[in-house]
Amino acid sequence: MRAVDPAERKIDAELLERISQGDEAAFTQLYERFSGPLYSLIRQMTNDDTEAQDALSEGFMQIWRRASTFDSERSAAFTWSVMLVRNKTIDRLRTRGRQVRVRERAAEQLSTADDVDSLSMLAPHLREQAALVRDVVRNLPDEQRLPLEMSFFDGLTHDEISERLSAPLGTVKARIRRGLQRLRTLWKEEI
Amino acid sequence: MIDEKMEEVASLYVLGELKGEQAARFEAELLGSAELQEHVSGLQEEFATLALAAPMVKPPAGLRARLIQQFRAENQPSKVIRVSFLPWAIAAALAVATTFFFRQQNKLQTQVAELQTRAILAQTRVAVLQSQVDTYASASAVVVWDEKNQKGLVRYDRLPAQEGKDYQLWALDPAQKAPVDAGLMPVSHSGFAKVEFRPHIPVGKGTKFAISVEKKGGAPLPAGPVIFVGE
Repeated sequence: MRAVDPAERKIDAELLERISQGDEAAFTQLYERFSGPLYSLIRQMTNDDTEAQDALSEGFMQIWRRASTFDSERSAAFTWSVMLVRNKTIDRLRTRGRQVRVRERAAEQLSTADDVDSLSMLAPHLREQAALVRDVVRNLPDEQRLPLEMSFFDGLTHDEISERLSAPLGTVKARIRRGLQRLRTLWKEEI
Repeated sequence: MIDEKMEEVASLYVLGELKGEQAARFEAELLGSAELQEHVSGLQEEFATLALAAPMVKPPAGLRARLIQQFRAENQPSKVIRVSFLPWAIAAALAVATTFFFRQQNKLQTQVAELQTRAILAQTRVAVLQSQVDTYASASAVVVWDEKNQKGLVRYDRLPAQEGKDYQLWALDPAQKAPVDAGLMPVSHSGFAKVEFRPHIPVGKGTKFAISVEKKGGAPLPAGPVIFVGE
């Protein structure tokens, strides 16, 4: 299963290749393509504008410095960038004492009625994908969606999620795993 | 065919739940299985698309200009660094001399033995890098190297982050005149990290690995102190 369109994957991979050779135009182009979703991800993780701006800058500099290690046969550039930026942001959160906001996730739907306006901020090739992933996430039962979001957006370990949800560790593990499996199934159905 | 147990371990790996020895074992397995790599890559892709579920917020307009300025500043052509290869010769000699003088703890030895077993199966080689400097005596670094495919994985622990500096990995190929750049080694807050690497040019049999401390962004040739060397 490939969640990123093959033609777009190729463009992104070529941009990273050029960035690794110090091409400023390619860096600017990749920023145009990825900065929206990456900033939104970091903003969601940190809940802090200043922190999010610093983390996005750091993330893009890391993308540049590590562009030569990117292997287009192993992953999509978007996936690689998301994982790199997410890991750096988790490090930042941990450095500052893990001041992760405890979200009222049960009441908080990440992506609700403002989808149309919100999605218009994205580069065209990511709009359809974003609409799809929101649909998929909405269709996850809360008991799977909550721990999955806590893992992805808060960078919490299974132990920490277990503590915060007051649920046994085994239950949390099983729910996250089922959430991932469901995500995979729903992706396949949608695609 | 990936069985259910392995699927579960792969999910834990993608979620960042595998640590230390468990992660090293899985990565050795990963290096030797194209099917498993494909599976993990699919899982990562699905997991990463969750980023698109976050409410969209535009980054401030000025951020792009600041970043490009930073990119431009750091992308200035590097000065040619004249390097004496004497320190490398000393470092290599030290590595041989310290073969019987392992500083690594028993735990690491056990881990390496297990990795070796798996690595043989996966046609990879595992190298324990020996600390050359007392400051890094408590740190550890292990390289898993797949010579056929010219790719590897370096795992390190307790490497302190240094302001304005980067750790850089080098491949010491006896057939090459100079150490071959194998990439930077970002250090997390915990001092633990794992990085996949490919030397910038192909390297042959008998290649050793070394880690040095370099200026931010790395250097085309080693200029800073060598802190780890290994077979």
